[in-house]
Amino acid sequence: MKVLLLAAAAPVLALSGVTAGTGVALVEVRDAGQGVSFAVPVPLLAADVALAFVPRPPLPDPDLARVAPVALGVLHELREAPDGELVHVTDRGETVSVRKDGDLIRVHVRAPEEDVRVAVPFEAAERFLEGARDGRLELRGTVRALRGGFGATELVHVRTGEEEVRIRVW
Amino acid sequence: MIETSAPTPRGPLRAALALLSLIAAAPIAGASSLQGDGRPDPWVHVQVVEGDSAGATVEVHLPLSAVRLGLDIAAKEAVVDGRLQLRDSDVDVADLRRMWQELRAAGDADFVTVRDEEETVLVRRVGDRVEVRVTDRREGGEEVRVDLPVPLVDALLAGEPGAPGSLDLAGAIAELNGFRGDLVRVTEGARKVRVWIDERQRATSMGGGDARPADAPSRRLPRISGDPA
Repeated sequence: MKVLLLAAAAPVLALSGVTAGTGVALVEVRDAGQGVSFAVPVPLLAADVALAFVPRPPLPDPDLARVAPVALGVLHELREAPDGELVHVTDRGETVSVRKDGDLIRVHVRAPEEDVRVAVPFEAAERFLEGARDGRLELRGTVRALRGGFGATELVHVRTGEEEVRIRVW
Repeated sequence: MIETSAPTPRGPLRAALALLSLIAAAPIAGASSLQGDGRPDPWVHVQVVEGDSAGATVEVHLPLSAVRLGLDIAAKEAVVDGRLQLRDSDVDVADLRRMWQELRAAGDADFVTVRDEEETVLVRRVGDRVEVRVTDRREGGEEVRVDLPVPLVDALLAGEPGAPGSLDLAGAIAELNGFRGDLVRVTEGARKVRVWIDERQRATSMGGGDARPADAPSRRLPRISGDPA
């Protein structure tokens, strides 16, 4: 009986292992006011494969192609720079902070009723801009850059009143 | 008499140790962010304090190398090959260039001095710097201090036969590589603006960006190889 159970569980465990090993994004939404809470795991490998069949769309803003090469250069310089805060703005109780943290650029917007944290891996930004340089929206490369290799990272965390959205990747 | 000697690695072992040493040293060399002359990379800092009831402040801290590249975005329309085109401006760069050559040859001197009851304006050269000082003595009046290194002005006004109406912005920024200290200080009542260059990255002044302790090692991601096609 144990052997049968193990045999039945093996493919599921193997699939879970492959999924975890190739990256998972977890999208969590909570609305305390409405009593709604759900979480959607998205295997990044599946997203990668799916995007392989999607043609790369043109950029929504063609000007992005013009500035992309320079933006790539700036990103490269920042990536090599030591960690620390790059921009800090305070105005009327709102604070915006942009800082470099290893291979991440972290943006934190804090307001009385809102708290937004976004972490952008340099690798993902570079992939996106490389596509933009060619006039294309590089979604697959950007998703690939998020896949695995850097442990649990919170990419997006938005709290507005009673609503909360988090996107984490492993 | 007994002679002892430490075993000396030879052949492949020695090569492997040398390779390991290089690998170990590489991150340290990269982390130090040194310029070619051995000095740490300069950082440009901009701080604006509005001093109003809202307490608005803006701080920007960027490596000079990133600022140089960023200029291509900020002034794409005005800068061509690192040169600021001023053909439609009221400033005649050729006249400015001639004037600078004459002033430069004069050595240390007061170039402009304006004093009246309310305001003092002073432009002078002191050693390797051009100092601009404006003091408005009225209540809440502004105080401006601008210090420009002479080599920076030299580079900015370096003439190009094919581009007489341009300023060499890229050359001027390259000169800032060796500059440390305040470039601009403006005080107007409680409002303050400061632009300076040093070799320090700003410590994070807004905590809570993530849960990682401040002294934890930086998160380094492995670079992803392969073309995403």
